[in-house]
Amino acid sequence: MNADPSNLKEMKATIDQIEQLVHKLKASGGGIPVVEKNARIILSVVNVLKFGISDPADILD
Amino acid sequence: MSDRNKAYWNPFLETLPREKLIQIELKNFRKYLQYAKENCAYYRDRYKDIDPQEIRSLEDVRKLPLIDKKDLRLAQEGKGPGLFGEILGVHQDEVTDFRQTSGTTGRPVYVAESYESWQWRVEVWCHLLWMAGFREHDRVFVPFGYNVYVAFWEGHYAAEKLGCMVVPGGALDTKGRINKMTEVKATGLLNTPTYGLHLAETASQMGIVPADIGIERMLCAGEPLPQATRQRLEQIWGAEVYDHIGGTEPCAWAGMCQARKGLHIMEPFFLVEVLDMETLSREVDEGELGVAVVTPLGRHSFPLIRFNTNDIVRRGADGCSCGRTSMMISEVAGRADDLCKIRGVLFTPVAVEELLRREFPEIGEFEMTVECKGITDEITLKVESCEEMSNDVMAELSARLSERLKIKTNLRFNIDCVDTGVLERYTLKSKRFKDLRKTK
Repeated sequence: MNADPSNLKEMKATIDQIEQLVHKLKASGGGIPVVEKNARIILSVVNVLKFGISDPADILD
Repeated sequence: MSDRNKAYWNPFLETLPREKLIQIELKNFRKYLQYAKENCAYYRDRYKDIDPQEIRSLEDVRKLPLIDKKDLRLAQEGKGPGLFGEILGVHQDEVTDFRQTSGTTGRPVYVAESYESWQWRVEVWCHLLWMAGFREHDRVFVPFGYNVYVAFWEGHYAAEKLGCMVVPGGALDTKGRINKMTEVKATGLLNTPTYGLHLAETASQMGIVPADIGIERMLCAGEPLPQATRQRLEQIWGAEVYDHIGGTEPCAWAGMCQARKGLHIMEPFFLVEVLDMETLSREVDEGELGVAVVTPLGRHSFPLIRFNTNDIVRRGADGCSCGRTSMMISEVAGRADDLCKIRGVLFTPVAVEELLRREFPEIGEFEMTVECKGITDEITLKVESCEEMSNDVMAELSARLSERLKIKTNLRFNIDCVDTGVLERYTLKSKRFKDLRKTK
């Protein structure tokens, strides 16, 4: 693992990709509970990562 | 990853220069306010003339109105939708957890958590536990049934997220809990200070030395933890004992690092202001006491903008040997609700606890009552010694205690030494101070 701030930008981009992919998964799931509910849980954790990683990435950019 | 970075749960956030932390907090404050205006009936009217984008500095933040527990009660009493009234920030169907305040000062406030808001709270607690040295190898015992009270739920799920083994100890009596802690070889404990002392007393009665159980660290919640009580717990348990401060409504907003010299504000999760007690309009200077006003910047289900916690804290110096850059609280002096005037003197019960724990190790349990007798207020302090004492020793203790209390509080106490085991033992929060003047 590396806590080098120069990695923040790359991590932020990955977090954005995960978010987009989960939204895509949700849309393809067509509302079926197994996709809908698990996608919601992933997005909650993505939100935490945005707070902890994407926010400092924006500020230090 | 270097050892230094392993000291942090999030090295990026925890070591950011202060001006960058404030930049993030202001950015998130604007977003949070916008969200609250758009999604929460309470703020829609209250903030209708305020443009979040115009908030550019901490001075701008201080111009906004405060909210307190009374406002939350009013926003809920008889007002829809559902249980949470006008303060709900998400659709009712998105609420996944119901919590409530303990109701010590009035009708309990119901607190709504969506799954997203709950994960945000758990993340705050991950910071708190990591900062206190909890790691994946720890076996964390929680000696309570958590019911609708939030702190130990947060601790449970955060410890689980860290990778600890969590052992919930509800539905056991105190002896059963001690046996279970011994059986699972618990290394960590989430506790109230009162119950930490009670557990130790019960273990001793069972012939078990508390320090032999193997607890290495304890994080306290639920009540004020004066420095002397913290040190007493450390000595009895042979463990590192950590304090934090928070509440059901805003979440835990400051905690201790392993230096154990004050509390770090959990920036940038919270924008915390420490305001002068008289006007609540001026940020106090380093070393000064003030009231903590907290805005949790990521909880959408229960938006709080500038929540007056009523916690009285002393603002600490910037910087800490641990390398974290967050603002420090050097002392939690008590609750504004507990401050009262007795014979014209401002009094806080925490001052008595601090004195007893620091200077009178022979005293175990205690209880204070203040009542109006004739035209004057009288305070009685009942104390229970840890061991049997002769009448002479008790008389000497009583005289010494009375003198020290007079110096410390400027008040005269009636001291009543009672037999060991007479005073009530508390299993969660203690109620050692009773102001009987209020009930008449």
